[in-house]
Amino acid sequence: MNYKLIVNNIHKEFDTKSGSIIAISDISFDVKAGEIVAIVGPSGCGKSTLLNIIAGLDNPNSGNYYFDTENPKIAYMLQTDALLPWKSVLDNSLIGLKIRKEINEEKISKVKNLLKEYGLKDFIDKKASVLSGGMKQRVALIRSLAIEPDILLLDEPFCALDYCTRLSIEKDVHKIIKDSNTTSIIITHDIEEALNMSDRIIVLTNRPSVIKKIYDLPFDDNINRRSLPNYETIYNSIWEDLNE
Amino acid sequence: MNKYKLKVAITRFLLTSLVLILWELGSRYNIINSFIFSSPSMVIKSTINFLKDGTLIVHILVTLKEVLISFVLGIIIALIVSMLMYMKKFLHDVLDPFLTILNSMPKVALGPIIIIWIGANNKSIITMALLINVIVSIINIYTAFTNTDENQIKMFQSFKATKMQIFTKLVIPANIPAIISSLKVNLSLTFIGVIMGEFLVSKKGLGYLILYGTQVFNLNLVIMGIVILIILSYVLYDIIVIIEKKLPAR
Ligand SMILES: Nc1ncnc2c1ncn2[C@@H]1O[C@H](COP(=O)(O)OP(=O)(O)OP(=O)(O)O)[C@@H](O)[C@H]1O
Ligand SMILES: [Mg+2]
Repeated sequence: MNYKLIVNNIHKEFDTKSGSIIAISDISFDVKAGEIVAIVGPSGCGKSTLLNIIAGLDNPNSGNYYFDTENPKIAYMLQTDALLPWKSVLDNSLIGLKIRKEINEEKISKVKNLLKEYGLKDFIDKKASVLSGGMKQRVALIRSLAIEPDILLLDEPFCALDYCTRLSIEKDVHKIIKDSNTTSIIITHDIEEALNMSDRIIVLTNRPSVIKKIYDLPFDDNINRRSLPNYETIYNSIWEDLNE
Repeated sequence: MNKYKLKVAITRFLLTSLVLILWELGSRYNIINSFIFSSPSMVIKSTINFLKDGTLIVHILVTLKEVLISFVLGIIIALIVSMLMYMKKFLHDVLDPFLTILNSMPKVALGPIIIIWIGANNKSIITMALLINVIVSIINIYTAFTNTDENQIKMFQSFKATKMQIFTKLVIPANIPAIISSLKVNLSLTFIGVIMGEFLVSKKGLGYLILYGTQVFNLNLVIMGIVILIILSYVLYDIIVIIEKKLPAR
């Protein structure tokens, strides 16, 4: 099996005024190429910290992680869309390419096609500030995918959206990620979201966190997962993991 | 809404006219002492005289030049210093207490020393104005820079943006409105500094005109100076507002 990312014994502490706190005790896992892994866990257990470390924005106190390439391209999608409201939707989508100085005609037209495909055709030249919440998240996703990342990291990307928007965008995002065959890690506190979007679910314990359980989801991609018999069993099992 | 705006405008106009008319009548019928209160018609007459002999334009231009130089220099210095402070935390940590102290001290008190050090010329006036406008501008702009949306910064960092890229492509454009509003503050502080300076050293300029008018008890002159000053600062302020309106919303 070819792995995209291997994480070994990550340990992370923070120094605070009241002494140091251990956020992550010891976490190891790996992510296969093209796989979508969901991470769920109680609030404050260190999920964002883990993702920051993988994104290279923070360093672990010990442990290490490897990508299958020397200089992996990482795309990070946060809770807020972080769009630049003074720029057009297209310019927002291209910003990663511009920063990385990888922009060219071919990539621009690819991004335009993605925007068209995901319902943003009429907004390509509009300012990002006029979009609805769900649209903004779609632009943020397209911005992330534009650089053709080796891995896409999503930190509770939909938690600021209302329930209905959320359901439809979950489907969109899942499809966009799968179509582009992008390896992804998604953090969520919503068990259903994890079940709907991922191939594997990693459940973390309370802080200082370790991995409690890993669920390989036996779901095919194209069917409505919710109606499958295993869905509820796994849902209940994760729910118990989190509430013990 | 338009009808409402018209109503507001008309009321403003009537209010101004009323004050001017009462002032004029009061002074004509000796209800107020026209020697110390002057009157709109006397101010206009004296303005016309000063315009005719060409001295008024000279005074206006002198003040305008001092204001523009101090304003532009002030904003350039403030932008550079706040940028350096933003890019180099060390520099910020060193400068921070000095800025706080300078900000809270009444800069006007330094006026006499500045004149001794720099001389009784318009360099002193510009220095005075800079001293008054630059500190506040630095603090305002730097604070705005540091309040840039953390998530947007994180997004840039995840794309491996350099600090310089983050600054030029995110921090600056995100803070254009804040920079504009600090321009407004800077402008009014510049006027304070320049007029203050002119009071202290100048032989030309609106500040000088006002001071001179007071000394020779020519109140027409004083009020003319003040009114022109108001018009001048309003016009400059309005230019900034027009620029501001042309910018896309943030
Ligand atoms: N920069 C920091 N300095 C000090 N403590 C921190 C820092 N960042 C995170 N922590 C602490 O580390 C722990 C883990 O934080 P983290 O944000 O990773 O949790 P999380 O699982 O993402 O939580 P949530 O579900 O609420 O988003 C928390 O207790 C938090 O207070
Ligand atoms: Mg978090």
